[in-house]
Amino acid sequence: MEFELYTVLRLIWWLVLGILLIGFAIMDGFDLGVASMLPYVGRNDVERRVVINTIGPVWEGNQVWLLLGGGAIFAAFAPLYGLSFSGFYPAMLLILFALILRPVGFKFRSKVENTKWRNTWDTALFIGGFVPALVCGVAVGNVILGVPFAVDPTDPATVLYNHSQGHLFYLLFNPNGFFVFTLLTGLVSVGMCLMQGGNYLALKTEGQISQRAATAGRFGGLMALVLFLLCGLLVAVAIKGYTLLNEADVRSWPSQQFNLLEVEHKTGAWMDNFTKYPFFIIAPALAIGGMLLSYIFNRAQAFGKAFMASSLGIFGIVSTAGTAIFPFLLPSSTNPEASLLVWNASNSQKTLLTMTIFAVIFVPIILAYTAWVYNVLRGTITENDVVSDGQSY
Amino acid sequence: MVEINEVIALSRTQFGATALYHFLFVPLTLGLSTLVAIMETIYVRTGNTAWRDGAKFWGLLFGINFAMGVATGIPMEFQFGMIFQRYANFVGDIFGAPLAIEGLMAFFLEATFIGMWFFGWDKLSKRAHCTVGWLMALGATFSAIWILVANGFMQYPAGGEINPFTNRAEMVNFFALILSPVAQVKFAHTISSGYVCGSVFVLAISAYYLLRNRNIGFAKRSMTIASSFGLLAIFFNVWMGHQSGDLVNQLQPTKMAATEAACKAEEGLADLNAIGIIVEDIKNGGECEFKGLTIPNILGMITMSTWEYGGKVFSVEEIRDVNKTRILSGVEAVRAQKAINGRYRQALIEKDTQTREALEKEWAVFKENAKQAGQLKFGTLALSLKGDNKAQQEYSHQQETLLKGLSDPDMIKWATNKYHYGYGLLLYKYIDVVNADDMEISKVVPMAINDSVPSIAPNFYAFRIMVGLGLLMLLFFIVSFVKARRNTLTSCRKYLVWAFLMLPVPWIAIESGWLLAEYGRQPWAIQDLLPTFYSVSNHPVWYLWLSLSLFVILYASLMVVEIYLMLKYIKLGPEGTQLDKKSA
Repeated sequence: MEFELYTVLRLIWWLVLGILLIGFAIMDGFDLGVASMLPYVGRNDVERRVVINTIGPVWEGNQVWLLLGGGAIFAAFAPLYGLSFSGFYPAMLLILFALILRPVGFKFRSKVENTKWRNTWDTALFIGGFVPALVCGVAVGNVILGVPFAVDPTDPATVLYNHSQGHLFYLLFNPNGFFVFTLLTGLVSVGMCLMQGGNYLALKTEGQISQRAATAGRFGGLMALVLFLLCGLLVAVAIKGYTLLNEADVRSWPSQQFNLLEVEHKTGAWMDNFTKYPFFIIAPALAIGGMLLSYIFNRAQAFGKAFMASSLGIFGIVSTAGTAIFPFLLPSSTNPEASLLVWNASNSQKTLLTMTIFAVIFVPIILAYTAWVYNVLRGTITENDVVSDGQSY
Repeated sequence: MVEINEVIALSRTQFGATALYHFLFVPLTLGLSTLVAIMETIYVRTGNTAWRDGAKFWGLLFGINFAMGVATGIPMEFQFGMIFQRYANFVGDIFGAPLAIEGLMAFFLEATFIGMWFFGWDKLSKRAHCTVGWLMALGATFSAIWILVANGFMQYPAGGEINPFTNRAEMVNFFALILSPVAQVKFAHTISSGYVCGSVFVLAISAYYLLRNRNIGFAKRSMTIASSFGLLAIFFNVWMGHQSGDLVNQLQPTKMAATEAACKAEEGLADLNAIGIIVEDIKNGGECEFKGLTIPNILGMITMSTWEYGGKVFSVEEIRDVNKTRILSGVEAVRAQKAINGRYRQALIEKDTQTREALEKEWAVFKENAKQAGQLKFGTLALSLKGDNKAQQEYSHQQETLLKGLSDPDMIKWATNKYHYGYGLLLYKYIDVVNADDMEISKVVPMAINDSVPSIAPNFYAFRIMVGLGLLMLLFFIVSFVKARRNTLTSCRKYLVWAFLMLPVPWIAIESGWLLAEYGRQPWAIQDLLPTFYSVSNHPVWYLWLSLSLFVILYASLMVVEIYLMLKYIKLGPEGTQLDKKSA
């Protein structure tokens, strides 16, 4: 009985983790996308200020999705938190330094009227948008390929032995599998953020800026769609996936029983879940449908609808990756028997239960006040608003 | 088994440095958000727009500071995993919870409403905007609560047990974790130090305006609020600081001994080593000596938690003696844990349900026992080792409670020694505890004893700097409060110069306090449970050199920018900041 409740809780937290990452991709995705297209859509200082001010009041709340994602991994899948954050150290550093530039970039940019000063912060904001979007996608590509690590279960604190040590760009160009693949997933992520940011910015601005944003959004959407399909093809015919053979046993064990998995490593294995659980097909269907609809609505200048469609598309893209590798969280390419799963990398039942109670109470509250804020801030932002309001960025 | 020392040192340096840097901005965020909300409330209540302008100006400085706090806070959320992987794995089941709850309760609240506060002046009603300000301050406060629950666990690991099956500490009692006395007192001490910091900041900047003979009305208004708020805060802060010290004496006697330079064992009421120099060789043999002004008996009298032991503060000498016993007992604990873990894994592999269920049943019994037995009191252990009757009774009662109903020999061995598990881990710095023979163990025990006490001087001086500056601020707030009440703030130039010079003082005090709390806990990452050297990821050294240098470069540049902007807006003053272009 105990382990049945535990199984449900582990699944709940797998879903919560997914929802947080999707929330991050949808909400912060448009901030990152807007920042990534800043040099293209904003040709002079006032235009750039308009662009920045569309996300100025909300980006901070959006970024919390990522921080909470980090916190949730820690609170629900601590072994995954430790192994992945250490294992992806160079990538994590890139993301961290890029993210550090954002709060200060937003806050400090408009505080001094000097072209050089402002251009510097514009570059910082661009980096803060583009780099996390790219690196997050590259990281997902690596997870799909599998990461080279081993676990020593006899060590009192269960330590990671990272076989990629010493290769700073290992993660960008994973020589273990298809190095192009991780770059492609990175570009899917960039395209997806451009699509989302383009739709958002087109909706929140008028005239030329809005049109440029719409163009960037369409470009990003097409790029994401084409590369997403290409990645899907590669996963089906060229990339080795992982299949867990002793799932029933593993599911009944407490966490942290590493090196006891029986795993098959064969080409196309990541497609198995879609026949095993046919309803998982909804995920890629939503991804493709959402991206197509986003393009159509964007073309028709219906940016509100386009934004809804691209959000659905992002939901689909992220959940496609998550469902394809389920129940894996982080497969090990060198020691598949040490891979991290929803079942062996979760926290204890008590912790998961406690966290569930907190999430049930606080997530609705968060959603309520976030909705209130967006409602207060509804409407477009014009050059006039930016110039006349002393509080704007 | 043995870590590269450089990796450990660099990981600690990076974490410590980024945390200290982050903590330059946090206290000001805590203090200013509340002060700004108070000012805006006065505006809403009285309708006097001068208060609104005050709130806007201090809000602007708050915003610049807040951006730095957010930027430097992001690495804190991730670095537990990035450079302290073993730590994350070993205590993540407990430690991750408060961090995630902080995200749920605090980060979203703060981050969502800060945008609203700055962008909402024309979009919200007066009342709604003021409420947003309070929600922002509330978010910062929640954040402090949960991060100190997490830190409280590092100082006093309540609510968790090591699960021998999963090789990690797991949560057994969530309420014990959040209601930990250490967490409560630390929260109160920290939040009030933030209020003090914000108040000193407002007083010092306002004093600058008065010295320059400008913005007189604004500066006086700000000083009136800040001096009364700050006075309340510093009283509370000093009181909570004292409480905190009391708990340290009770729960972290090693930190207490280091803080007070209690080197040699003494009987009766403890003497206070007020001020002087420390001669020490703690890391090679544990010798230390205090040379300076000693006030007899006073420490034993003011530290209430000593009264249980006749006013005694345990010395480094005594602690080292006790630690020897604990290390040997810890070896047994580690071996018992490994044995249970091995048998359990074997049962899983062989699908031996009977063994598995038997072990799980024993563990369930033990968990209940451990809940009843509670935490180990150092004083009880130390005195019972010395042959004190009452203490011996108490300790053996605790042991009996732990063993009740257990029959598995490994589980009994585990229960007998479980309080000392972390001390067994100390030996992993030198040997593989499970496979080493008695000869090898006895050879490295003295080294582990040397490791078990931190250097005295950093703690001794950090504490005295913190307390000295705290008392200076107490005096400063009393004077400021009286002068504000009598409306004589501008009458004396010397006071204004003093007020301006006080600007860096809260930061020095706060960072010293941080150092004391975290360095004083060494060699532990989690007190008595997980050694710091056993917490780090096994990165190659150059990873850490690279990241540390990048942090230094980026953080130093950001500091320059931050100070430049702060100075720019302070010089511009409330009327020069384009704040009211629209409403004017």
